[in-house]
Amino acid sequence: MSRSRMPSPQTSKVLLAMAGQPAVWRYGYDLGVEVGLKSGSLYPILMRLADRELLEAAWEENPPLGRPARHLYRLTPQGLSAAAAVQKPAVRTAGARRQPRFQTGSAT
Amino acid sequence: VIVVVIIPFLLGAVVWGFIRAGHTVGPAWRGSGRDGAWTLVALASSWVLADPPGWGPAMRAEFGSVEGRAARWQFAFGCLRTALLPTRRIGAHRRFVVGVVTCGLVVCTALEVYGRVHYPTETAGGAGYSALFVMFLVVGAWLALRGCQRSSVESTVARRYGTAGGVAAGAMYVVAVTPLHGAEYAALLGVSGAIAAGALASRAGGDYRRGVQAGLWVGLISGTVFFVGLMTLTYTAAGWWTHDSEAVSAFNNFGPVTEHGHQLAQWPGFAAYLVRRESAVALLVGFIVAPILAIGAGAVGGAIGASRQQSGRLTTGPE
Repeated sequence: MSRSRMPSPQTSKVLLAMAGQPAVWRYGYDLGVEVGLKSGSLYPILMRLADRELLEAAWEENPPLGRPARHLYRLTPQGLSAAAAVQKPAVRTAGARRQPRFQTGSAT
Repeated sequence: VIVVVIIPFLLGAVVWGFIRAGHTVGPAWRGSGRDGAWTLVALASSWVLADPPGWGPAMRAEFGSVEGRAARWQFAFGCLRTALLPTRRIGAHRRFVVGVVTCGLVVCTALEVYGRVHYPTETAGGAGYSALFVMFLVVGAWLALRGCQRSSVESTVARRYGTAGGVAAGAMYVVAVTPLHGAEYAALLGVSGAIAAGALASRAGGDYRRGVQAGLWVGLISGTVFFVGLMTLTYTAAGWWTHDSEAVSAFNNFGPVTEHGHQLAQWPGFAAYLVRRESAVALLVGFIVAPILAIGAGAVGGAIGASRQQSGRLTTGPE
């Protein structure tokens, strides 16, 4: 039996960054730079996402001469659903945090 | 111990790491323009345990696009971290291993602390002994947790055979050091258990490496069982070991010579001396001899099991 749990903030960042351009294959290092994660955090996250079939990986075709083919990553349909699920609570939480400030502001 | 066993072992591990990385990386290993960061990435990427096994090459390929000396080293250390630390969440089958490792750590540490508190010996062992003890515990726990990263069926089977063989072998090693008549032959049964576990694992997995893997588990489990068993027996029945007349005479004649020509034992009593001596035996046999012996025996068993499986395939092939 598998438990569904909220991903870590770092995993959420990766999911959301990849969900921004769902059709585009992404390079690992570029993705890490975009979300501000070092390789020591990024690769375990990518491995876990691939294990859960939220991420698909492929090798680059026709790499430039003298450079090895790089790994490319893209979210699967399940991965996109997971990213959407991550996005919803984030929006809800942000809304809930803002609400008291409005109330305080209007009261004073 | 440090000069004869630990340093050669560490040097051997480093050489083995380079050889393995050379095999994994291939001709690119010898290419020009390879700096220290590249070497670190090559080593780390060859140690990554992952199914499917494409993550190591992915790291090496990605490294080519990292620019700047600092960024390259940062990337390299990140790869090393990924290779050395667990990358997966703890699943049901790994929880068992984590539980066993935690119990082993707690029990071994408790036994050691008990000995230190009840039999204080300022000169026996000291900080060096404690450092060795902690190092072996950490290395053993790391090997066990890293070993359970593999999630394939063959690895799980190897782990199960190794665990069963380890418990049996550890019990046999404990019996072998008791003063019972003919008990020393029990050690042979322990080694046979490691060979059997290796053979069964390789036969089930179709690869002699599963035998080595099972041997590693036998070594870790049997070493821990031996340490716990021997130290428990020593504390609960310290008098039991005094059958060894050599130990008694060594206690009386050991220590610095006084100005009157008498030798003083360095321990406050014979029990303290005995505990420290058995503790050293438990450390050496449990955390060095038993694991190395079991890995060797597992490899032998693995070769036997793989050959039997191959011959079995040949006979069943034409049917």
